Amino acid sequence: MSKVFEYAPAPESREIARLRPSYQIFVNGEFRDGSAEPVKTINPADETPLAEVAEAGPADVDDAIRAARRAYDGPWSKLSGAERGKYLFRIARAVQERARELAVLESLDNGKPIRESRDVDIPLAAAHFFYYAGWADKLEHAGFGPAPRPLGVAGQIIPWNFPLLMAAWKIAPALACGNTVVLKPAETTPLTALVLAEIIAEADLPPGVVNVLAGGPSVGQGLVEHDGVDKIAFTGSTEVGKGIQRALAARDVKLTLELGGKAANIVFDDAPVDQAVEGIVNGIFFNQGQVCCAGSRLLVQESVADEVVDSLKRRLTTLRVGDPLDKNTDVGAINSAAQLARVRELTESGTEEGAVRWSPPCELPDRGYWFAPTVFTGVSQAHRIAREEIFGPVLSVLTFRTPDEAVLKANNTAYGLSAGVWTEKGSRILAMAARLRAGVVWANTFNKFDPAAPFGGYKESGFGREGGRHGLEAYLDV
Amino acid sequence: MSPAATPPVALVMLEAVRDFAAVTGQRRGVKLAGGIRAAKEAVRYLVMVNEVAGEEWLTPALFRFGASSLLNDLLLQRHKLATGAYDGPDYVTVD
Repeated sequence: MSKVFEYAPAPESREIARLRPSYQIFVNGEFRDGSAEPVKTINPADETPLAEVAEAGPADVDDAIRAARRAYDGPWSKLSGAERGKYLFRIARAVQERARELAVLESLDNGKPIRESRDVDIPLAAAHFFYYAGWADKLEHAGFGPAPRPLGVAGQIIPWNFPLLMAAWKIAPALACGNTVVLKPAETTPLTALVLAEIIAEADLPPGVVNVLAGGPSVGQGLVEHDGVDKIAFTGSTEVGKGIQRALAARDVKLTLELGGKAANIVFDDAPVDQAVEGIVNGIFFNQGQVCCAGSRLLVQESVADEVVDSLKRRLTTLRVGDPLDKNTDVGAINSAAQLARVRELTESGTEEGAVRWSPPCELPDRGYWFAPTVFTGVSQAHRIAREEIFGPVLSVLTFRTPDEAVLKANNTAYGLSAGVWTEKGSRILAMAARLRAGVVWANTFNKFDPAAPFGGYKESGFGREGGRHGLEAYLDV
Repeated sequence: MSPAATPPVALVMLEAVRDFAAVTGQRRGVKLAGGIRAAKEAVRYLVMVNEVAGEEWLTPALFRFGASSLLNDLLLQRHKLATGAYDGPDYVTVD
């Protein structure tokens, strides 16, 4: 590493997060203790406890769903779209106003670098509320008939990788369409969702329109199995998604699933190498690779493979891994011990199966859940690291010779959430996009999100779309 | 060339000399001129040189600024470091 220049620490103050010793669940417009034992949420960067969080029990799930039903039958469904929009605009503005607090809190609870929570997660969360606030009074023009009806009570279960952003993706379209919501944030990252509940309470939404239940898998299961829900929206692992679909079999509950992925990031020989390398880095090391649409398989054309891999390795030596609150940090901590164990297990299988492992020299902190950015070369389609979702900062590099081979390999996966194409030729981008079986195809960019763009999967990456006009369909009776 | 030395232009030039050195083994120098006025801006360019081309380029033989107003700002900053107070612009020459 460099000797002339050293990075001085530039940490964001954790005081900004206004961390409280304890947080409560939000039911029927009120904060209260849950009926289950409270748990401690920890900072994955140093394994210290952050706060005690109330856990919902079966009684709380029942209360929340009943409150949501009362709110739906009562004030919420009688409001005009324009009035619902006003509430959403209010939430959006409050998220913006408290952006800094939310960003630091998100980095503390999740382990992601402040650069990402500050520049991506929180602004996008606000953008989703703004976007769907605009749709609330225009539903009859959305292409779902002259007077589309909401579904009723939506149970929403979200993952730990983008805690606040996923809450916004779920809550904003549901409220815009006139539904009421019971949201369950992930067990390891409940804090920002509970602050969002505070924002919602301050925005004076009628009690019960939004309920937030912190808790583990049993709370999610309680939501899914409760006969009071009309809709379940789930983002998370394919395994849990399958369980939810099984539990909902033969029930009249609308379901959308956004599950795992094993995206191919395809680099053709005419792509500008340096830009492609930036895209590859963003594709797999954004949020420590804990992104369902991460570009975890790099498919690079054989003629430029050495050049691209060499450039990539050189670029990775400048990545800064460490304190998530440091503004210079590029790669933060893995969210939990369980996730770290899974990443380790899969990377070890990569070495065992014959792929060549490489990591840039970097010092990892002693405490906390850390994993160095890792690149595997000499990977074949049969390797586990090319087939299974790792959900960590691990890139598998494969090569191809012709566009046909690229399509064949890219589609040869049980997943189909996203893909990337890097080439100078617009015609090639369009031809590839048409043949790739993935819900999102990025062209000469990666991990680009916008509330106006629909997002969702093919095959085992799930079904239903979130974002854009298409995202309304998931919350309307159509 | 207009605009003269901007970060995107500098980035492309540094990538070019880096790639040229990788292919031929020969190092070529880069000189950025025009538009760089403040020492603070200059530091950003030095970081870019360090991270894109590499530390070997952080030598006058391979990297230079051509900017007279930058020299003045550097003198002002040095004076500030020495005395704790800024000089006015009239205490440096404008050639």
